[in-house]
Amino acid sequence: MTTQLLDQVTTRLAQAPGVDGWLVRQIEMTEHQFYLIGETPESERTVRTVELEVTVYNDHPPSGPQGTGEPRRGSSQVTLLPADLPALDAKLRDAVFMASLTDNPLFSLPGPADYPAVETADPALLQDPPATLRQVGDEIRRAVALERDVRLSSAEVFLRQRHVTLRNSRGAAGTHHGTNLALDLVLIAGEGRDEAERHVTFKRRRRADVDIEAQVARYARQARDSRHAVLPQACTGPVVISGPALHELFLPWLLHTGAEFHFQQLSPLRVGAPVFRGPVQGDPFTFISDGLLPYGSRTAPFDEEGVPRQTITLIQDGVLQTLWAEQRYAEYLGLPASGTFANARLIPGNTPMQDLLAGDIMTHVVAFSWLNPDPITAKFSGEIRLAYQRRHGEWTPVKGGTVSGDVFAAFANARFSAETQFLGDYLGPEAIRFEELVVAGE
Amino acid sequence: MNTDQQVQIFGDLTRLRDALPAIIADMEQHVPYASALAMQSAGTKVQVNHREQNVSQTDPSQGVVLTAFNGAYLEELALGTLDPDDIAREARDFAADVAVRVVDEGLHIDPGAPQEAHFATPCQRPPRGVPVAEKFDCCRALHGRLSGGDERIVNAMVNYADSTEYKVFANRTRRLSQAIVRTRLMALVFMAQNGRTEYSWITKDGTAGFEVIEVTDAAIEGLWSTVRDLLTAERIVPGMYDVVTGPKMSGIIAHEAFGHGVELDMFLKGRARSQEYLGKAVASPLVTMMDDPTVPGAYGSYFFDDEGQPAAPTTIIADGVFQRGLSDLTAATRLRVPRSANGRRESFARKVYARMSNTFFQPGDADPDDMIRSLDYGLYLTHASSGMEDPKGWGMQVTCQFAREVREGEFTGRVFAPVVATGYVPDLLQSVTAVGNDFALSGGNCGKGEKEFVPVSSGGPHLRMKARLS
Repeated sequence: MTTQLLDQVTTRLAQAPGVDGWLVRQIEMTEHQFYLIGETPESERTVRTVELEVTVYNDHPPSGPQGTGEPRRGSSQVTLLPADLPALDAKLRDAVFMASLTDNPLFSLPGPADYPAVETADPALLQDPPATLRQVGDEIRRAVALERDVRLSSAEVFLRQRHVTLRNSRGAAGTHHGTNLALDLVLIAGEGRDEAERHVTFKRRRRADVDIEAQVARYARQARDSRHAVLPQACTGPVVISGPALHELFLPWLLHTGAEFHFQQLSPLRVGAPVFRGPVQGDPFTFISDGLLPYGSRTAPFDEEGVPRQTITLIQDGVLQTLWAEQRYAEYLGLPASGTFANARLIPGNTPMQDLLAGDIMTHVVAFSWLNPDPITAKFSGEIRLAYQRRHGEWTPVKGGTVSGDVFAAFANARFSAETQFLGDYLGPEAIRFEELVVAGE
Repeated sequence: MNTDQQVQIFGDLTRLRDALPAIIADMEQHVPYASALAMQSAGTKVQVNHREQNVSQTDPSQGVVLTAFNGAYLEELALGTLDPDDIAREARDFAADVAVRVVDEGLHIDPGAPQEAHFATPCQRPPRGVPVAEKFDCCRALHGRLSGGDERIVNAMVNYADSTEYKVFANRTRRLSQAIVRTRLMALVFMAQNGRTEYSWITKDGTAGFEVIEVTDAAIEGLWSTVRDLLTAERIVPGMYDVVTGPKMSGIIAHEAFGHGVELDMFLKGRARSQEYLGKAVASPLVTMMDDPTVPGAYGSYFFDDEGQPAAPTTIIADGVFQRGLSDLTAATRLRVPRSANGRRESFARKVYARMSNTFFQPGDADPDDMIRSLDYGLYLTHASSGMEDPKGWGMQVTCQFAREVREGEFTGRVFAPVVATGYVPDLLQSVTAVGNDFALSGGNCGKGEKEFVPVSSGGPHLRMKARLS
């Protein structure tokens, strides 16, 4: 990795008129991509890019007729590519002008810091990427061949490495090297009109965190079950959500525990107060932003601005303890700067997953079409791509219909499995039982 | 649209445009087919809300993707540069590397009839010519108008973005360039009452200039009224309902329910239930559905796709019968069907897939007001917010921010939120009993699964149908 471009830009920034602060991230990325349709290669691609994300800060008197009072700070982002160097001065002038238009309360940049040592790059993915891609492709084909009545519809394999070098005008400086292996698999079970598919994606930093044979076996079984799935029976009651289907449920928690959301007056949650309106009937809810999780997808030595990554407990036993906060919003709200949200971690419960599934009326969802809770209201309604419903003591695969609820209300009466799962940017219970959600169906 | 307007291709793209034919010829010394797509985009974004302001460059992209056919499949090298000398050197090495894998599997790529042309989005006020300060002032003024309508407003946001995307495509017969201008504005209002926060939004968009972002007072009044209604909205009792969908909701149904399932790479992968229905009835005879990248001013419009295929409309469903799907080069070549101009990529760093452009139902002859009046009991769905496809199972999920109750043809004032429409696509489309004589398109970004985002629009007229809502 070369910093020649970065050096030139930071030198100019330090001298540029109107630049009262600056932040630069050089991102150098190489990605190898491999695509299969069935057993046949569809495409192979290699991507190489280098770019600089530059933020300039301009301090100026407040706009308006008076033009007096506390100085205001404006910022503006510009992305520079190697070809932009000849026009660098003009681009920086444009950025300063854009920053000078906007009136925001003053804030500072993160200063120099000792960044934590973190594990984010897997040597196994770096040695011979094209060969690794083909090995992964072969492994997928072998795993699918072991499965009865299932074939590979398509596979996409992405192997990425990224070098990030960060510097700012306060002297913060750091580098980060990370790897990612991403898979997109579609498995089809059955033949003709009886076919059903299961589409799954994975993204992990480390090769060892993707057990292809086990994952293919799991999703092949689900594809087979989908062939016999019927509409769920409508009910209001306990629903267990497990595996990657849980992932999107955390979006409202992530946003409402962030300082920006509070600064924007978009969250009803208050630091020091319970996050649930009514009585808590389920397991204690503890929600953590973990920036140091080994091989977590959002693990790094520092965040996008240079704030050292750390682990912070945002919600402890149902009470909001603090907010994750970028430098700017931390200063606005008088909080310590902890950086952008990192990996979600949830403290598991004590109940084995099998026990969570107990009960005469039970729906166990393993896949939604798309569970997208509203970021503001936290209400959700997701179509069931595959679930299992206990009927007359037997588990019946179901699909179609929906599961609806409100994330904030649902977690007040939820129990967490003792078993945990790692989804790249999530470590926590493998399953959560919500005692009262609405299942729409027959 | 201007189909032959000479455009100003700036910077290195001009030099590269001249150099590409030689680069392609050099590559084809080694491989049976080669092409190149160079891209460069830039623009401005402005964000104004109660607490903050920001003016920045939109995320720029600049690079080239070199495509080489090895007789079996396409190999690509994507580089973040537009320097002709660098690209020529990399192209030579890349093609020589691909050459060792060249086979003859009987697949041949037709480079198309010779064509050399330049295209540009017509704009009344090209965003590049509008001073940044004016864009910012407009957004601040709109924010001021949004903020004053109700004491329960806790925030109002204006998000504006424009981009000008330059593309140059070349293969051995074609050298095409286009400048596509996209402008988009989103205005949101948030109100809080009794610990409950609700919000809604309006959007304006198009392949058009700064003129597209005008927001009327009536639209702002409507936005305030919607958010007030949402503060007392209830959850719907799940079930089957008679519904009338507005153009935005109709469009998302077209896009999610049927559009994704007729992208022909899905046929190659065996993922499309629609494959069994070619030439068969899949919808009410009232239904005709199109994908058309040539719609003037629509957000998903372009002049040629990312594989050099000139834009043209595709009739997907005619009078309820499934006609054909949307193709990229690979799908058309392997399925041996005519190409459509739907090979699109998120950026030079991403692969081409078969993708929609502007997807919509054609208007019919019913008056939308009469359609609503015809409901004994039903729901009016207009504000679609998202959707997800299921091409194999032919299920669908379309989320509508709210639904308004209609009883004996009149709105009752009762509102349900959010509302999700699900079901088996043919059942839904067969249930269409009236098609409005109106028409509108809404723009947005569409992913393939959960990635590969490209600008699209969807829409159509009002539709009356039966839908399972929850």
